[in-house]
Amino acid sequence: MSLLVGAITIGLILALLALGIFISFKIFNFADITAEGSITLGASIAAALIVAGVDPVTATIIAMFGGFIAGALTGIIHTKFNINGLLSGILVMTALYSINLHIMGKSNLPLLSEDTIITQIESLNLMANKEMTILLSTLLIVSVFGIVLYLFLKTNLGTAMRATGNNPQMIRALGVNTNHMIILGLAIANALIALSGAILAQFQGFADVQMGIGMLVWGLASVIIGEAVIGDKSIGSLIVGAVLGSLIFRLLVAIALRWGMNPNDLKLITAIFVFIALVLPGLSKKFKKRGVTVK
Amino acid sequence: MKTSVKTLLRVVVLIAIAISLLLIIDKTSQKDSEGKLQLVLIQYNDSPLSELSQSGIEDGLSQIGLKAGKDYDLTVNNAQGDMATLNLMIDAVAGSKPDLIFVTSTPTLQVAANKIKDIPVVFSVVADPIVAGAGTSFTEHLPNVTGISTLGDYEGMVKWIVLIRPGTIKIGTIYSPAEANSVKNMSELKKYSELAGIELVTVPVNSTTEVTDAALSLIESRPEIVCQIVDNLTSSSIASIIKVCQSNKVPMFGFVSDQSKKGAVLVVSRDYHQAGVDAVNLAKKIFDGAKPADIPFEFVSKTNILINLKAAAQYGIVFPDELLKREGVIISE
Repeated sequence: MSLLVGAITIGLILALLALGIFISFKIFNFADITAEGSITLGASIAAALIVAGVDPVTATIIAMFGGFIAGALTGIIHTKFNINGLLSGILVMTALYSINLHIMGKSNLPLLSEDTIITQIESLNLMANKEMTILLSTLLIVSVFGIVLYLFLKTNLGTAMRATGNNPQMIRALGVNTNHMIILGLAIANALIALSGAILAQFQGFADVQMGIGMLVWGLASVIIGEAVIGDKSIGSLIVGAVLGSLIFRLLVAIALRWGMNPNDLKLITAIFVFIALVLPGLSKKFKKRGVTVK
Repeated sequence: MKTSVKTLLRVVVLIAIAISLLLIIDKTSQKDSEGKLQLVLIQYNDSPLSELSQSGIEDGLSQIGLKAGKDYDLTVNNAQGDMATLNLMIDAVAGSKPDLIFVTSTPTLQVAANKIKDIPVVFSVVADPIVAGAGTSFTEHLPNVTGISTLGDYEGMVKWIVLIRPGTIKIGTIYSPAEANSVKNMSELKKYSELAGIELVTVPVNSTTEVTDAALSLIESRPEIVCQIVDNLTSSSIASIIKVCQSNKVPMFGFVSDQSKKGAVLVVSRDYHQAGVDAVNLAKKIFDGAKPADIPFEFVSKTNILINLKAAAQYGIVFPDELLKREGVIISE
């Protein structure tokens, strides 16, 4: 059942992307399109360094740092130059396209014969099955980053950051520089997204300059699906929601793939499945309410 | 507290439903293969090139005497340009354990090469399988992978340019830096044109909407011929390049056969339909018991020269008779 394992693994890798998008979308209330550039940035930095012989773990950490800088840039353009958040993201994403080409030296860098995080995890032989080993390791990585993000958002700094999105006037009155909060927040978000890209490149065996296309949309979909099924009562449920949303989304795509329909209909079917997943929880609530009144 | 347990339960149920659905579909889809060859074609995106090679594969299968539905089932998958979906798609295909997998385009080959180790994979519409990481040479490659390289006949094109328009010193092309195929094709054209003393000017393009502007900017640098290399992006927006060439009276030469009908004066074409047929011929060797590891990569077997005399007349290009009578030359009036 390698499709199931594969779908969950990809879902977990892209859950890091969803966590990053959760920060910009749920905390700062705008869709940070830098994501499409920074996921590829993470992939290309990791791939280029690994090909150059750098240890894959170090390469992945440097890739995260690259995403951090990209996000900070979007934040600086947005706050210091007063450019609309969406447009700042578009600017950085557009610039990153060229930068990614420069980092890799070409549009596509294969890692098939290189030592990557994934091959290192495989060689640990934690489980009988290599695929399961990778799945559990990505689950571990996502859990660690999810918990760290949760704890961070509960600190004074994290609370100030959340307040920046909710009520900037109030938090400014308390003496917090909201601009710094936005810059730091977007930097953290894009570090997570670049990490997602770095792991994805090592998982699929290559980095490609086009791999970021559409990623923002999928990330947003994950966050919103997660919110619909888990709710947005607390910061913790939003984080768990983003991760589970990404998992559910990839499972839905996997079902659509396995359906055996006309290949042209793939995206249509995916859209319908996501629609059903979003509507279903609300419907079941309605039914329950009705049940109560009948009693 | 109670509500959070409930929501978590709801999510677990939702995921359980998704997983069991997957398992059920997987089970039902694995039957009814009785003796038929199970073949899969995986494409990365929708482009004229992938469509041509698909029809080539279908025709190739009937040429080797196999009937669709009776001797084989060919399932076509298309990731519609989404990389994460491509990964899942290859997992899905690997799970259904087909007898052989055809892949077109570089990213598809790379994901397949990474994930599939025990099913034969035959590629086409890949300009350079070595750069893609499928092997170190055409004979030394991944054990379960073989296929057809569709690197254009750039040497042949430059020879034709010198024959038709001796004294040409500058030609131009648009290319897509994002596509490994495109960059490889561009550098090949550059290599052969420089050997012939011709300068190649290039303009990069990143999306189909930019192609018209890119063509106009290319014309600004006054190339004598626009010699458009092959890639997914420009092949799907070739009409806008030809339009700009026509209104600026710069002849356009191409590498994809259907561009001749659209107004290209000369097309030196690795036949993408033939690439599909050739891929099937490699597959036949595997059906007959050969190991993919022992089958070297090959170039497309057929190069067509297509001349559009009507378009040529517009630019005052006259083809010498002996060229028109050459073997493999197809003329349209």
